[in-house]
Amino acid sequence: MTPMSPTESHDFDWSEQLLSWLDGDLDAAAAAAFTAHSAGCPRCQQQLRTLAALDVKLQAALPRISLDENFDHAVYARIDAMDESQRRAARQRAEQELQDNLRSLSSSWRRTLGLVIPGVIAGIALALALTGFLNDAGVAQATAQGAQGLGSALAGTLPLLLTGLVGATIGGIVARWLIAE
Amino acid sequence: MNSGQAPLANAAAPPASRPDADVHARLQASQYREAFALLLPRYRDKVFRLSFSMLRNHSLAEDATQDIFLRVWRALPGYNAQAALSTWIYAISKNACLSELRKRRPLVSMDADDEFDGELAALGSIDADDSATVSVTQLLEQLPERYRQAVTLFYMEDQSYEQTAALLDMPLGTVKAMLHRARKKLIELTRETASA
Repeated sequence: MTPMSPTESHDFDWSEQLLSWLDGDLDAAAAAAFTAHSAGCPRCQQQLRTLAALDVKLQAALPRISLDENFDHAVYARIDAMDESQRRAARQRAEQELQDNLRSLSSSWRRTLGLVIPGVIAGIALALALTGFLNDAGVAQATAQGAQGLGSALAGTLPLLLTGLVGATIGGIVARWLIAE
Repeated sequence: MNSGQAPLANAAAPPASRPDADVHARLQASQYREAFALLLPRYRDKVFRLSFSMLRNHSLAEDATQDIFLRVWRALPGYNAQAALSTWIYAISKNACLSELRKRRPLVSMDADDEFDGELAALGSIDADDSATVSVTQLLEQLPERYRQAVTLFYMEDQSYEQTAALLDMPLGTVKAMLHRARKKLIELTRETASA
């Protein structure tokens, strides 16, 4: 290993001390030792002058750049534009959702009516068939005789009411079954 | 709302007790606009200098700083205060600048250093009376990237080791050591160019 030259040896011993002294990082004893050394050391004095010159040049080359309030205005303008576009997108989404819901509701109603009407018609047809069967079996005559005891007007409409009631019930059951399908 | 908070007019002066306590209070109350109004003037220049130290171009750094604060605005509701606000903002800044560098590197790699040299020369009036040495910007150019960034921030932040360490998210001792080495390197380079 090559031995250090006197200059290298000096720098090894004092260079870090010099920088720390400049930064004010040395304790009182170390600072006093460096000050005593540098007072009689041309190399340290030269380094201090070089560092001071470097410092001045770096300060000049790297000024404390800053931004002003115009920058803030530009940032807020972009934020407001961003927020407005987000609000617009949210409004569009809500409107689209509403339209979708309305469309879905309307199509649901159409589907329901489309199934209920045939269901009720089918129910009435079944009820009429049932009434015919009951007439043939003599049950209707027995019912009419029973109704005559309640009044002549009711006796005429009771079979019709019963047919309607049975038809609607069967129609409702059929329609519900069709909707569930 | 805490009655002891600093008013909005004192945005640039955070309470001494806890850094950015006023911003945190606004965030807890979901007052994001008010929180942003406090942090923008407080961090604007620091973020700008950090961006400049990385991007090495004044207008690029200004554009990047705008983008960074838009990112901060968008991310503000998700900030959970686990890291200090400054650390969080500087992390966003560094990521944004790195993205910008990655985006631009293929286009400007050959010219970036020359541009930096020109930018620095334009920023400060460099004394050219010392004809025996090259300009300080040329010397800076020869420093490794980390040292150059540390030196740039150190001088732009009024030679504050603490501010430089905070911006670089490095321990104070590391920053001091880096700056010591950078200065020594600059002096060596000065001697080399003087003797050449």
